[in-house]
Amino acid sequence: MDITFKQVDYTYQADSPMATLGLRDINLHFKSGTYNAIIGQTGSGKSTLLQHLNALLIPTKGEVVIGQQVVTPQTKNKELYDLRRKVGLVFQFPESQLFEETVLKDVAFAPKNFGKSVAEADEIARRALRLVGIAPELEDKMPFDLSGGQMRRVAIAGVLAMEPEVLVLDEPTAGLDPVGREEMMTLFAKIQSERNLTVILVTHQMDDVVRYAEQVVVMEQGRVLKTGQPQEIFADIPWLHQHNLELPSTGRLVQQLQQQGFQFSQVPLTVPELLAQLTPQLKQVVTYE
Amino acid sequence: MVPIIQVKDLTYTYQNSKVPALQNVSLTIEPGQWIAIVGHNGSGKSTLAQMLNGLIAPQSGEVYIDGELLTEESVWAIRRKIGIVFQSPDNQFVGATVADDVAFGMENNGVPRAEMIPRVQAALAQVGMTAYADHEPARLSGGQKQRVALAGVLAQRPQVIILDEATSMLDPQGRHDVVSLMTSLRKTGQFTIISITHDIDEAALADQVILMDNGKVITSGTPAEIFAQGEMLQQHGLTVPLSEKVRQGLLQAGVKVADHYLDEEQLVKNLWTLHSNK
Repeated sequence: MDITFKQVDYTYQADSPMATLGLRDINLHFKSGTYNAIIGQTGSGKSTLLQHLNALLIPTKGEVVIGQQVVTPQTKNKELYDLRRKVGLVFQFPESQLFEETVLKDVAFAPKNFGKSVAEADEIARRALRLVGIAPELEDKMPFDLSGGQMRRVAIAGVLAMEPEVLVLDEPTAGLDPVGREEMMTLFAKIQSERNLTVILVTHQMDDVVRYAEQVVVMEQGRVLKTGQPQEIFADIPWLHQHNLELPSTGRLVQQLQQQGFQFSQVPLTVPELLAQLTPQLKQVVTYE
Repeated sequence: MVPIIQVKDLTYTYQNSKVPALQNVSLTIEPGQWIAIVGHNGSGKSTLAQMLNGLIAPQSGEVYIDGELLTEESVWAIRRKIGIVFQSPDNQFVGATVADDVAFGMENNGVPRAEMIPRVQAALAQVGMTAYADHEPARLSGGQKQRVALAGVLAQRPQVIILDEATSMLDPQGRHDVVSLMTSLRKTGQFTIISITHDIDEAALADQVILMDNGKVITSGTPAEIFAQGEMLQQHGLTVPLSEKVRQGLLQAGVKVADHYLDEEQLVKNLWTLHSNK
């Protein structure tokens, strides 16, 4: 599903003396089936933007077009039922939203709620659980008896069971260990390609942005500062520093190497890229000098 | 010198669990050290931390803090020596203001008010949160909350500070603030710092790294010793620091880079000597 923001403003507590601007003049396009990342400091408006993607918030000005649905300041809540089914939101620490008695019931809750029979909902839930790697033996367990990593997978299965066309991920790997993080990100990439989903990822993990995102949106103080491919966004290290943005993990090392006279035609964003550019500048074990 | 922490043969299995969370764990920690306990989620590292100040009682084995055996009788005195900052910044506040919150532990321990006030002020100054003394804790950022939690621990003048994944829920700025605070606390030489983490860059700052998995201590050593064993770290669910990944990559490409672990600064120096344009 294509998503387009046209001149969107969002004001918190509009029409009150407490009014504060959350978003200003947002113009964005997320192409159907692509992997997008939104980066920016805490408080830059990332979460406010996310909440527009399934109309948890509706714009104070402008419009958001999500598939066929146009959301404007006049849109009424009851018009948004279909939209909310099509856009799955995985919030930070989604495991805190588990509530049912068993794993299967928890995951089947959304499809049931959206009108499927119990048998159909259970079938959809089982598919979603297999997709996130939860074994059948765990289906009858209490969600709270699972490990933290398993609980998070169950919560994500709950979102996938809605069979959404858009998957919105807000810091989905926060608090996970490196292997758990890697598994989770691989899982999202797999789901994205298998189901041809539009993914919108909010993260501080720049290595994930470099690895997965086709388009990066940089936010600052409620505005879009820049959009582009990872290579364009991360090419200008001084600009990133100026806007208090993190670099991919190679960034700091690259800077130190540049200060020592090493040359990089393009800022290497991953370890293999760094090695490819660095090795020719170093003396090899076998030399013919 | 009496070890600040000595743990002998600790074993613990949670109710409803078939596998032990800790199995025959023994270790000795000297005062003034910064120890990183690393391991993936569920490796037993947090269980160990909670056993050090008696939040969980061992089913077998012994814990000695500053030479004293941890028992039901000694636990209260020992908790004054050990402060813990937990993972979630939101679940550890009781006070209506930042200053009240920092004072809470001292109130519990019957510290007189006249002494409490300067100790709160000193602790807030130490974590750089003086300007927020009258603020509501709920309105602070994650990093600020963890600094306040740390001030609450410091105000009790502990000998040991345990940070149980205290940075894992923070954004990069918050993490940076807490880590630089830990570094400055180390410099005072007054504390033994135990950081429980799966952030390998944080572990790199420690004097000693203890690797845990399946409730057991797998190995321990200096960061250099541990990080040189990249394959083993990966087997136990962790990664190696970037400088080590690059060093390994260069070795494989036939570059005569140093044959041991280097941090980023050392690696850059080492590569400079190998620069082909010199």
